[in-house]
Amino acid sequence: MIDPIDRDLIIRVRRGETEAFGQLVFRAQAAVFNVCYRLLGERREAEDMTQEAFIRAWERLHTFDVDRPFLPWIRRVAANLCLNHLSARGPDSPELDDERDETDSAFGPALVVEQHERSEVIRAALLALPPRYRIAIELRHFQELSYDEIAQFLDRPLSDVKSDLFRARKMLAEKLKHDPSV
Amino acid sequence: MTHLSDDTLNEYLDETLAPELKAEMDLHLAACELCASRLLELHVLFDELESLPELHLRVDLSAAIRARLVDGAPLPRPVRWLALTQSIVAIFTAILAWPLIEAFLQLMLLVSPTDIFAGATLLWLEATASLRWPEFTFEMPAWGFDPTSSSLVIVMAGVFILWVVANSLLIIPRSRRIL
Repeated sequence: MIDPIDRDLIIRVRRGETEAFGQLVFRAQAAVFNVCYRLLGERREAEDMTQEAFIRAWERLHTFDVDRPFLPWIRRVAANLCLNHLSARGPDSPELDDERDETDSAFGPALVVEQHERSEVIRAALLALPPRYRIAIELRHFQELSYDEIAQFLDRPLSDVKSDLFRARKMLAEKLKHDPSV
Repeated sequence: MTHLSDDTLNEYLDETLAPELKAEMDLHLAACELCASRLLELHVLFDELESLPELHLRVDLSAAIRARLVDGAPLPRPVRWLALTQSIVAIFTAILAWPLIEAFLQLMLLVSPTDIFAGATLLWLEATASLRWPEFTFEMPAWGFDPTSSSLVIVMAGVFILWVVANSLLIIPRSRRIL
């Protein structure tokens, strides 16, 4: 669904209004940051990559179709940048930063702690996956792309995409099953 | 009984199976506890991923991103035109002033570095001996034209003003100029 505010902002950005781009960034930055954080696991690195994603979007905004929603597009730009960054970084798996999730404060403190711990375990399990599996999970579960869209995005055969996704889920399920805190 | 493959279970939950195949799977799952259990495990994983909360972004990145865009933004069109005009006028002036430059170069070639050094030493000795500035005269070389002619002065003054204005605009911080 196209957000009319985003559409209006993009048209203004194309006229050269950096102020409008600032507003666009403000609206989308949290979602983009979360993509980067899920893939990279380090807050500072995720913030840097979020900035890079918006700079890339600015450079390529003339190719963007204003009749399509902006948020999925910028999230894919961020995922692509993170994937390249992971390829360049090498196989080392980062330590997950200690984070506070957006948990519902209406829950009791014990439940909030429990939810937080469970989220940390899931994030750690995601980060322990090889980058190609991690990106498959990100695109399918968090960006809700179809198999075909993922294959097109990653420029890989459909069979490879399915294989990566299913293996990623299997590895993830095993990691979560063997973790006593879950 | 043949059990369902992992791929089929995955595709079932991703809702990518054809309706007939899905109906067959539903029948199998109703009868096979093992496959139903495997499907449930996978379903739990889907739920876990779906329930992963979003993190707070502690800093507003929009200001930093805008600042980076401004640093990398192209120069405004009037400034680009002014810089181009400045370059053209500078080249034109250099062509006009070539006889003057050529005469000066010839004068420089006539005097050797040793003479310049000896002259400078003599001047210094005279200055320190009397503690007064020595009186010296400078003779203009015969350039073949009048360098004080009004047209040349106007051109040189124009170039100077253009140079000052264009370079002032170029060194103003872009953040003040664009935003």
